[in-house]
Amino acid sequence: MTNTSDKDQLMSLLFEDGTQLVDLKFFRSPTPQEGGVTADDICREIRSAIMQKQAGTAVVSKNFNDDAPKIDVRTLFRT
Amino acid sequence: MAVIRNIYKLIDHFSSFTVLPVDPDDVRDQIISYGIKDEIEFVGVTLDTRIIYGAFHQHIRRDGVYAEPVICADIYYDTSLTRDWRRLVCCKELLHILDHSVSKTASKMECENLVTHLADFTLESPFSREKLQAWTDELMMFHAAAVLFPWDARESLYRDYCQDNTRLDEIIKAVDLPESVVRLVLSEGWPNLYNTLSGGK
Repeated sequence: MTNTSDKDQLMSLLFEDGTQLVDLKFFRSPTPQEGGVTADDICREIRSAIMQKQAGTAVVSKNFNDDAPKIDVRTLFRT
Repeated sequence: MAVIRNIYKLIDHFSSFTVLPVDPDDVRDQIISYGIKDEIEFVGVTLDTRIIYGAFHQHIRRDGVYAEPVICADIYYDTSLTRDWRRLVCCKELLHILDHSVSKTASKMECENLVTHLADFTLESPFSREKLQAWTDELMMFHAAAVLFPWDARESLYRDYCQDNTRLDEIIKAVDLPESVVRLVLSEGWPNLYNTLSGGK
């Protein structure tokens, strides 16, 4: 698979059903792979993510489901 | 720009929060209160985290020929991320829902150009629309930090942190954000940055 095809395949996936509106963003890795990250690397990952959702293998939820304990930070160093 | 005004409003809304960590579901609910009707879903997937930690995909779904189109906002994150990173990733991508102007893409070619520019932020393209879109995307991470580590919380912790920065671990645990974000917010220069990010509030 050539690098170009990663981007082409993502675009085909995004626009295959005649969609007129697509917005796409990503959160880049703070510890990127050696040699850097290309647009094709990113397209491959985004396409993979969308396909995992379509295949039903993703964990989908309407909520973030935060389970972190909460604390009023004004009291953090006052006890 | 409406998006910037809404982000200013969002940062201002959370600025008085001292009970932390900020729940991304509360951020979502506040965004919805601004009239956003998108169907929002958090989607945990397996990604190569040497490349990306998450992604935002907004698109239109049609459930039938005569059905109203539904705008869907899918927020992808890697399931192996620790909760602090997942919080930051999801919040940053949530903020993109407010974006109804400059960084909205429409056509296949525009989308392709945007991904290319986002991937190579340093690309030589002065005064291009894509350059501005890429810059807006990078800035969104800092807006997310301003939402998730509210001003009043920072003010409460700053003096103690300055007196004894060995307490950083306790602060990191309380705000549940990556260390690099916490260090930035507790830095001396943050008030000026925050002033810019919040529109001077």
